[in-house]
Amino acid sequence: MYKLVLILRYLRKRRIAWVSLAAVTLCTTMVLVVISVMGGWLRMFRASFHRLGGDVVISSRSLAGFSHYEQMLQRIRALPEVKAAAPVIRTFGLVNISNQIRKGVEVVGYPPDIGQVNGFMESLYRTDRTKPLTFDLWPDEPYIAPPGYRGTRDVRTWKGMIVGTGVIGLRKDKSGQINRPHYMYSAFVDLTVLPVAPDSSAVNPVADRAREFFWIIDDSRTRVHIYDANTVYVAFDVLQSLLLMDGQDGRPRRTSDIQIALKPGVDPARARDRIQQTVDAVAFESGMLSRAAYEKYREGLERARRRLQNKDALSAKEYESARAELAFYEQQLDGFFPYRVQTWEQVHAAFIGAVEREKGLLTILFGLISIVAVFLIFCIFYMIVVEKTRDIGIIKSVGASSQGVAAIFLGYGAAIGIIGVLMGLGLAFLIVHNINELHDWLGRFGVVVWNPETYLFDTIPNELIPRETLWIMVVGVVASVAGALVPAIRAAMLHPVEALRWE
Amino acid sequence: MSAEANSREDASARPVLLRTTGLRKSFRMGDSVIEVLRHVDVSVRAGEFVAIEGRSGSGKSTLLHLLGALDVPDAGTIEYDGQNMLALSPSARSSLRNVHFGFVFQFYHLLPELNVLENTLLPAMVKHSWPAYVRHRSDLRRRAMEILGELGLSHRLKHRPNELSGGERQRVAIARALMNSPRVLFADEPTGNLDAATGRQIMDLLQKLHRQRGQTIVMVTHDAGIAAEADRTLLLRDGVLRSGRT
Repeated sequence: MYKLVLILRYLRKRRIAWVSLAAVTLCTTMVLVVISVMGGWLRMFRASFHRLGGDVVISSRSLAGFSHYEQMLQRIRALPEVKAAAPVIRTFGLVNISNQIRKGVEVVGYPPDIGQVNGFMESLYRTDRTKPLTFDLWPDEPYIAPPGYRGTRDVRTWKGMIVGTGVIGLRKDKSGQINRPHYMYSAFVDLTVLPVAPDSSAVNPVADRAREFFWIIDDSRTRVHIYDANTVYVAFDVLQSLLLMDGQDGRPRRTSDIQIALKPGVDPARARDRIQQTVDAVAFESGMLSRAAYEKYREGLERARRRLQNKDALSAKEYESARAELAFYEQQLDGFFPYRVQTWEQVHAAFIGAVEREKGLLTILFGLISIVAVFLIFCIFYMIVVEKTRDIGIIKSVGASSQGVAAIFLGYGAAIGIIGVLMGLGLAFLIVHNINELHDWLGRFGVVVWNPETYLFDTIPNELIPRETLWIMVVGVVASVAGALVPAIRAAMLHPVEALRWE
Repeated sequence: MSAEANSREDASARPVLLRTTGLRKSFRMGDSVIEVLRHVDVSVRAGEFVAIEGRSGSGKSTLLHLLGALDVPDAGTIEYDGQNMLALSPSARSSLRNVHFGFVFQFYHLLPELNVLENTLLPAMVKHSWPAYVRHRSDLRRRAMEILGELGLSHRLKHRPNELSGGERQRVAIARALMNSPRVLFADEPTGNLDAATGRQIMDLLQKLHRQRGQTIVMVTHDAGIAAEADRTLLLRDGVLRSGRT
């Protein structure tokens, strides 16, 4: 009982310990705010990537794409795990926008039912998100032929194009709003792409180029800068035709990607394996790939592995030969399929991994800074123990044990920790939930840390994740107790008589 | 025959509560070793009021600390109620100090953060676990207030030590020492820091406790006049105990 009474009394009366309390509060706040913003940023990226790519993606290993995608789609759609699947073409092109903007972009061809597979429709501003994506022109826009246009086609037969907000320089103003000038819907886009044959043979950029005119019908703001600044979207069949992937060259029609949405609750990794088997089967059955060649490579690989297992029985020359054989078959098998089947997380693993590492690094860095708080608690508690030496002697003289005395100071440290992390949580909650207002307020004095133009996010992400918060709070309390540990041991080891004689 | 005379006569028949044999204690000061106690044999019977008189630095406080389980000797034995005190574990010695012994120091040694009532309750707080203390809280508070009332401190319950006079502080220290009804009360120069009149009050209080309650008291003092108030006085000279007045 005396421990509790003394802890509470010291907490109230020893104001020097309030400095430790402030340190724990500020460190907890700092780590919570950092982890909240970085975690929120990561979650926004993950959500955006997931939203834009479907759950599983089959992507071509080259710009040439892969054939027999229609049979693949048919089989994939029949799988019980799959909700929807759609072909997507990705390529690179050059755009000339109303003779004002000329740049290289990624060109994406979307079919009308893309809305069932990914969240692209949600990124659009003017288009009716509930209807299939048609890329039709707006009936109320005048669409006047641009000055100097020498073509014979009626400009109203040009196709519609959706551009990333960053491509045409649409930016948020200081209030985070995007002002779209109405004339953007009368802007034309002259798009040039480069068809690549299935065998990826050499192309002639001048002779082989394909060119088409479009009108900007809408803008897309996916909230991922790398997409919004460099991507334009056109109808799948239009891009397929431009790239000569629509069979006009007498070859099977091709696509570069298939995006697949899974039913709720389906594990993407498991579904990926099933989809891989399905598309591989189509590839072999359709004659797109030779099963015999595949089996030959696999057998070769196994043979080389077996040889290398008996390494001791091989001469140096034989060993080198087996290694070369293994490398050859590995290389052949790696590039055997002209496509990759990946979950959305695998597709974006490099970027997500980088942000995750950045978050971890920042948390560790700020955690290290928080060690200062532990030292502060140590110093202050050591001071208190020295100051309270005689009191420790008194407490021992009335029968308190050494463990009891240690418990007073450890409990004191824990109390500082608990109150500190709770105050830190409160402060972090206030900061995190008002971080955008706070940022705006700082902006009045010219302090702009988060530039929406750079991040293309409306707001600074702000969310405290209960599990992470709880962990940080536990670490905060443990750190406070750790800071009090050495002073507590010193207090416990004080000899009662020496302590009573302390001056 | 008076009750006091009876009491003195009966004392020799009472059991020995504390006994030391061949007690030695020395302290190192720099390179030299100072032998404070040299082969001290002393016994205190239940209900006795024993004074140990000695000059400053004679080792009387050291002897009191050894008897009160606050320190351990270099050699010799200390028995409490027939039990070898030195064989006890540190926690058993702590428990002994809490339940069986009470201490009154020259400089009062009250906790400045606690008020008079809380300082008095401190040994009870040490004795009881949190739930047990909460269960017996009202009884314990009542007892503490009774003791403080007897010592004339009922009006000072909520005051902190720095708001009290020296005599009041020493009375609070006595109240704290009595809280767990100890069998032995150790008093280390209880009047050493007080003026003559206040010192007189404190001595009257100790006498009252001894006579009315039969409280065993071991007091150390440098003042022969104060020592004379005890049933028996032992003289400590150069670390050796000699019998004094009985």
